[in-house]
Amino acid sequence: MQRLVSLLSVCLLATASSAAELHVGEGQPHATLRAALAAAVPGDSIVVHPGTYREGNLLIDKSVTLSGIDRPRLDGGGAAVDVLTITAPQVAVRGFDIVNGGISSLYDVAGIKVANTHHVTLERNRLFDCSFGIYFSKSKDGVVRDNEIQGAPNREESNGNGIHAWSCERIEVTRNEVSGHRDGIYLEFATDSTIVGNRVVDNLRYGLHFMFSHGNLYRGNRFIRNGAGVAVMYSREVRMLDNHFSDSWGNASYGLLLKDISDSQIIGNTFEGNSTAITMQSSNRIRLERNDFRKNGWALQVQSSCNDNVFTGNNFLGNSFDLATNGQLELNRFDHNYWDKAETYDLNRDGIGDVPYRPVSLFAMLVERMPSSLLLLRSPLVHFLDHAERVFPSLTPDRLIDANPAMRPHPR
Amino acid sequence: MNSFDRSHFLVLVAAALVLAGCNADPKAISYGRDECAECKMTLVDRHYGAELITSKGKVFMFDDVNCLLVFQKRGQSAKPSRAVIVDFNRRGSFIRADEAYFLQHDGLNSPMGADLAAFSSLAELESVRSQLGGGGAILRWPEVGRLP
Repeated sequence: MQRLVSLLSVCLLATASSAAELHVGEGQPHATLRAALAAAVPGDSIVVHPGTYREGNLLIDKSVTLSGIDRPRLDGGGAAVDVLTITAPQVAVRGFDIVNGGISSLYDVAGIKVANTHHVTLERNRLFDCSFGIYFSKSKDGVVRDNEIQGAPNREESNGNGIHAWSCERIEVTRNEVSGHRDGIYLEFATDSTIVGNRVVDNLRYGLHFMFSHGNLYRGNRFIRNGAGVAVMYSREVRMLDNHFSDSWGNASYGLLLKDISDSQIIGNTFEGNSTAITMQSSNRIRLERNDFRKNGWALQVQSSCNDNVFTGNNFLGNSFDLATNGQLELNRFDHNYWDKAETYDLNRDGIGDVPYRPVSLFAMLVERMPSSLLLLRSPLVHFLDHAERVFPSLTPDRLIDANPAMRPHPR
Repeated sequence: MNSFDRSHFLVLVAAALVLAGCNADPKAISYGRDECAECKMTLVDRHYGAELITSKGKVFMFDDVNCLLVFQKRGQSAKPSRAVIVDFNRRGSFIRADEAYFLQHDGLNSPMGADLAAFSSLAELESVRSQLGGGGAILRWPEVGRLP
């Protein structure tokens, strides 16, 4: 019994000592963050007072919490090293401004790098002018929440990614703002992660980019004016729900680019004002449901290498082309979509058009083969040919129909 | 212009046209704008990039060596063609694939995960390799082609 009591008291002492708070700043016990980190023991919490700290690369290799009062500034001074490197588990960094990261031609230099660890939380930080912003490497159970990450505006393609996860599991990326980077958020070999409620704007290449990353969810994000909104490549079981893709405009610009994707869901998203809303290659068994396509150049570009995809309950509104393809798409199903171009009627008033709709127009086929013929868009002759083709299909894929086109847009 | 000059001039023009037709130089990659012919990704990393140039002078761009290899294996470029690779140390300049020294190293992060960098000399390769802490593998073009 006595032994148990002494054991308990040791435990209590341990917890009591772990609550130590180390203060950093002018007139505080620790003048530098480096000194506080050296003095800290696991479980300590380091409170950083306002000011600018230029301490080169800071290594956090103990399980401590760093919190900033009124956003202290960690200035990397442009040196080609990470500003913060975290290698310990159970670390939290909250409320800092991290600025002036350097660039290296050989290494990925980041504002905050998290390497070979787990349970690291990064919240309410702002990162400006860092090559890579937040960089997770071979780590698990990370949280990146409510951060603001802005790349240097004049570095263009030498900038790295805003939030980068390589070889990771279960990373949560929530409510961040990311702009001015190569890819806003980049996942490579990252699984079971969630990307929720982020606002990703004006990134050079992609807003969100998955490479070889399976079983991830992204939901309720806004992707605006990125080279392409989201690129999902060589991945499976990706759930893409309730996102907004807009203003990815230009040659090779897409709202959503799918390459070698399978067994995934694209549900409840809005695509507005993109050159191409969704382009799909070698992608199979994808459910595309209840999405809105508004005012895009092409709503869908589906390559013949795509099979067993189901497009249902979507609204197609004011797009120049609803669907372009280079094949027959026999193994894909289009059903119960609303197409504003469908000129159909509904004698039995069941809300379903009595005439099937053919989403590929003759002109779309023509443009697919001869891009320069796009010059003739809006010409009366093209209009006439499209009508004739819809009545007597000869060149367009004859089995590619929506047999039950909705008479009215699906309510959202 | 007398007739002698004129015929010379015409020959020159014809020669220029023929040469232009045979022009099989690599095309400068516009990073941030050009798209990979295989994976459709926009090229952004100036350390990496490759091109296939057909005998007729058509140029296909790739963001990474493995995209070029996949493109070739799929038979997308039927014409006999030659490959050039971006020099890791000299951004924007190319090395003939069959003259390049390739370093495959975990510390390299090429866009499609081939993690292969091309160098014009073994000395330059070794210098980058030592900066990466050694290790990795040195390959020549035929071995690169046999990578899975």
